[in-house]
Amino acid sequence: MSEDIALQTVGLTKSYDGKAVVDDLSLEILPGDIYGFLGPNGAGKTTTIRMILGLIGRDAGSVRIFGSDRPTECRRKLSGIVETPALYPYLTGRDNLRVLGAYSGGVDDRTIDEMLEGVRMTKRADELVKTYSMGMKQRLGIAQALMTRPKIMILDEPTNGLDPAGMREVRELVRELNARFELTVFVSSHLLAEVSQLCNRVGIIQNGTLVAQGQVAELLRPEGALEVKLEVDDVAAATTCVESLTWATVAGQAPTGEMLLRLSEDRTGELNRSLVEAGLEVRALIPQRMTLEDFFIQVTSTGGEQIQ
Amino acid sequence: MSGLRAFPAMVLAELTKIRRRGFGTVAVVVAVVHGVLVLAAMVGIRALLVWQTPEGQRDDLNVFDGLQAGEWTLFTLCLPVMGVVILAVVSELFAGEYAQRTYSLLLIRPVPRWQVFAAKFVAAIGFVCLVLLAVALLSSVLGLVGFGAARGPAEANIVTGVEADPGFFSKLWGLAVWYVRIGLSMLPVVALTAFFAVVTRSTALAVTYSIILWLIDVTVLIGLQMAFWWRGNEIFQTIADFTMTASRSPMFTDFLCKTGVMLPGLDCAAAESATALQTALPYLLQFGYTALFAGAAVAIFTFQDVE
Repeated sequence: MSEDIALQTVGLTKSYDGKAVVDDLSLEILPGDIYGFLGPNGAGKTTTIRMILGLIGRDAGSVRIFGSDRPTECRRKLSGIVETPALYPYLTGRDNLRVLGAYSGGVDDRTIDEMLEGVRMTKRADELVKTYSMGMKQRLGIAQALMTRPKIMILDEPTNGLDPAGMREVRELVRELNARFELTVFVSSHLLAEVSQLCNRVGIIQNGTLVAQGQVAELLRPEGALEVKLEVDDVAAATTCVESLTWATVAGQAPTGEMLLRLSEDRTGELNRSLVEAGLEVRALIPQRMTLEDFFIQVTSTGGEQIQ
Repeated sequence: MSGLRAFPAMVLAELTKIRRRGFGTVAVVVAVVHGVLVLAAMVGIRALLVWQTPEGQRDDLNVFDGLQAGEWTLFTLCLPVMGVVILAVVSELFAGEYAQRTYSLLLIRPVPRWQVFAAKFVAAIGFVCLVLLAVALLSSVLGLVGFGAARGPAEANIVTGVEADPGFFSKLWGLAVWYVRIGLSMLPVVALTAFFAVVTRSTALAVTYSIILWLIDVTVLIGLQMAFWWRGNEIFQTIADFTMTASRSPMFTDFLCKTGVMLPGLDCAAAESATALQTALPYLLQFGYTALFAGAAVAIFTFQDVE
């Protein structure tokens, strides 16, 4: 019930034909977060988002926005786009915002101009939406979501169908909006690279169940053993040096030619110092940290033993 | 209640959508073409009815004046044009947004769902009224141009049989009353189409089911009349009387009386002298149908899942 939590779902459940698509899902998104909501296709991401936005009913559970679960109040603080931005193709970009603004209690032209400028759509605002590229539709979709000055914005697969330049543009826009409007952003995606570049916290869902949630840095922080790649001028001397250390072993050779070492814990700085003190020229020392993709594969294959 | 302040703007937004989809232009074009054709047919009928005598040509059997011609055009436009326009606009307005997946844009706004439905419903009725107004003005102008306003045929009182020319302004008032009656009779059609649009979520299915229901309605009515005609059964007559005087629109009953299509069970004299309640009954039924279908539609719309 805390107002310190921007968006909270408690025991959210939805079934179709007796099959649970979302099962007892409890998420916590903190104010100012760019929260990545990850999951394989069909995991229940879009169903969850639709329940949060009130587009579909829920079988059980609740959604709270800054502590409130009253639908109209929630919708004042919450906005978003679900999947491909569906806009009115026979209206101009500006008229789309005007029409949707009417449903938001009235949005004046100055605000609309500001939103268009914010998503860099001013130049094409008076053209029909059916002439827009997918990236432009995404940006206009974001503009319509921002019109009501929400505190939380939900973006469902915002880079779907975009080319790399378009993806980068949307990422930058989301970061900018997060900083400029102190906007809490909830981004659903199955593109792990995108999420790892954009989000500070993530939740991972599989088969409708939350399998992991937490700060990206925390989730990826190594626990216990760590592998490092080492490139030195004298491999034999380096091997001798490493073997003298109780917490490090030579694990082999990396496909790219470097030595592969295994440390019992994250002591890369100490390793570097030992090698230099042994008179070796350390050209590269690269910790093989877990990527979000590694983590995702790990938790989705183990079925979620790492919920935090 | 704060959401109600946004309601007029929501209705205007829906009217903008209707206008930008080109429905207004389509309605006006069809109305103009149809109006011209009907008036041309009337000119032809008048020419045929001009009485030839050995003394020369008589024109006292001229059956139309300008406003009457306009009235006829207005009436004949009701089913073909208004029916098509209403079905197309209402089904697209309600069902089209499911197909385009644009309902999600509206339903995430801070207004209750019933207001979203109501805004669309009011916009649909507003659009129908605007088109009717355009058609009424157009048909009157065309009628006056084609037939003139100076001389009109005497109209016989349907009960007393006394003939009198009601005069230009009286006929103009009559035309205005027709306009309002037609507008009212369109309410149940809007509600019915909206209901099927919300239930089926498909423009094509909404149109199809609306037409099927209308055909069933007409078939039942004709069946009742035919049953009475052939069997002369009192029960059939009672049902037919009720059906004709109660469930039919006043516009349709008037049309039958005025054009002399004296179906069994259609008691024009009784209708003329009917009590206020009997007069109001068709309107009450129309509002009843509207409330029933619109109420069911808004209930479904409020609780249904939207993709």
